[in-house]
Amino acid sequence: MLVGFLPKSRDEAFKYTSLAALARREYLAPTSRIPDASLLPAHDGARLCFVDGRFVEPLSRVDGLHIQTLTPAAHNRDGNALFEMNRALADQGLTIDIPADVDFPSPIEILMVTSEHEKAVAANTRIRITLGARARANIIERHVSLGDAADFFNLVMEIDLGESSNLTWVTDQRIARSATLATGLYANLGKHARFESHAVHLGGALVRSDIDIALAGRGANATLVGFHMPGMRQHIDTHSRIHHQMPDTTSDEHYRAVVARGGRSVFNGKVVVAPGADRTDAQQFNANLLLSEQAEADTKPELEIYADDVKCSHGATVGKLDETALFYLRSRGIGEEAARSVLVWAFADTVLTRIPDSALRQSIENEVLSRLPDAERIQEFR
Amino acid sequence: MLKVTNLHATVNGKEILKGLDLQVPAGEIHAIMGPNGSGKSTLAHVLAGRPGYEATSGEATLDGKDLLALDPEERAREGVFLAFQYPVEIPGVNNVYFLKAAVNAVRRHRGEPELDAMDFLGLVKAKLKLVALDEKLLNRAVNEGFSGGEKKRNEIFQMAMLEPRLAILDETDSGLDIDALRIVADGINFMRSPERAMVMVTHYQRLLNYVRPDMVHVLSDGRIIKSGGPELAKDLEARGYDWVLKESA
Repeated sequence: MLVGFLPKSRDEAFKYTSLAALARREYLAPTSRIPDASLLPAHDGARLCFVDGRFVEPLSRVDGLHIQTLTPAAHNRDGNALFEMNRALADQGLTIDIPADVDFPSPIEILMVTSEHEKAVAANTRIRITLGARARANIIERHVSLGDAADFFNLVMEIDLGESSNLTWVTDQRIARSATLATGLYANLGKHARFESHAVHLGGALVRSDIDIALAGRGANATLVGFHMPGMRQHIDTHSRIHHQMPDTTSDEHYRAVVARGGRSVFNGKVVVAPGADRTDAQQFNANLLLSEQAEADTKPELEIYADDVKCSHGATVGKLDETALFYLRSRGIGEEAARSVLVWAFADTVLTRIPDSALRQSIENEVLSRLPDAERIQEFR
Repeated sequence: MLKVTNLHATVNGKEILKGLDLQVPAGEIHAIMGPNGSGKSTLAHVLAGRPGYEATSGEATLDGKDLLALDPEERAREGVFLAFQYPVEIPGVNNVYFLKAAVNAVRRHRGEPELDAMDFLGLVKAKLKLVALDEKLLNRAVNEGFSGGEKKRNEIFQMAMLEPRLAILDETDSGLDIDALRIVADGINFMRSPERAMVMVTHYQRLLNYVRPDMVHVLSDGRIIKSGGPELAKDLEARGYDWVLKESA
């Protein structure tokens, strides 16, 4: 079913991430069973709930949002193989409209649920979000699994931000360790528009997140923060593209990964500064902490600058826990396990602590903590 | 109190300590001096249990307890404290919380109740005065953005908080200007106690002008080749190490 759409083995965008295994799998189309609302995570405020890729109104709370449940047509763009698959196959979706000058009060949750079922299902879904001039909104993109089938879900999100609008986005991804998830977030920012994203990927066997930001209006700003924590048989890949198309645009990107034994993290961050996009300021940093000899991180920053008078920097690190720091902590009476966890936690929390919504931040921090040995002792360090 | 007998130790497979004997009774401060590469810092790290610093034979006991059989954290809880020559910066780990975790780890081990936030902060304020350390530094990450002198004072501050049985000060005087040196020395003198043994590892006599040791030992090629009173340090300052080395050859 998916074979024709999978990237070719020589596709540079998939150099570190093979989707070949998907071709060998049999997927069913989603059924329309609706899970019990009590199984879903708690959320106050607007909720747009999708089950196996389909919008489910009874589980949603529209709360005055302007939505349309027709699948939006995909924009014409130079997308990768997963985007093309979504363009061809998506038959589910939603359009969300925040009109000009509206400051939408509560966080809007886009909840992606895969139901409990025996055979894996595949789904392609597309969402379009538009913010009018000066509109403001907070969106939480949350992915959860109620079962543990090896599902495949391909979500494309197209975002259009009007002049001086402001969108804050948090991705909280905790799908089953057997599932595959592809997300593509394509945002177009108008003059002085602001987009801030915090993406935390903890679940999944294979996760590929494409983030494509066009700073298409003068003074537009994007902040992309992210965290991957792959463990045994988990592969988590973020590919970001930031296009500085106009003068005075700024971007700040900071991704971190903690990779445990048998896990792999991939980060590829490309920044393109177009001719004439003077006074661009683009900062990018990617740090990877490997917890085992059998952990892998691939990081590839790319800068293409076609303008003068720009301020661009990028850096990437891949390293192990600092043994000297570990000894320092132990020499003060802190147990080895706890000392390791404290150092991992400190590394991770540098980015997690930037999540603006405090309840959500705590929930994510607790989930990260729960994956560290002797987590109880770390509470003393918070 | 501290008793080291015929201690041999290797670092990266190379033997550095070659049969070292040392006894430091409670209440005394002993200085370990010696030329570069003689094994001073190795001794400090072996006693604190640093991984990679391997005791291959001999003994080291604190109050009769075998230190070499213990992990570094267990030694710390038993009362061993190492003031680092190069205190480590740990981004993301808050100084106050780190200190509280350390103090409570030791207290739990001793069967004492953990300190609550109020008692802990009271203790912090009292001990900070000792080393004239700005309270604001404590809200930063451990040693991050500290000057060289602040790092060393932070070590002495940690020692004061943890009240060890055995304090090992590894080149605590290095890199300090004269004012900082005096503050650090005052802190060490304040910590002098009949309950506590201290080992000061130092290359120069400078610190000993402010902290009067009960004994001075000269370490060379992994063994103590000469011991004496505080006047020995003065001789070394005046005449260098060569005469001691020749004398013992």
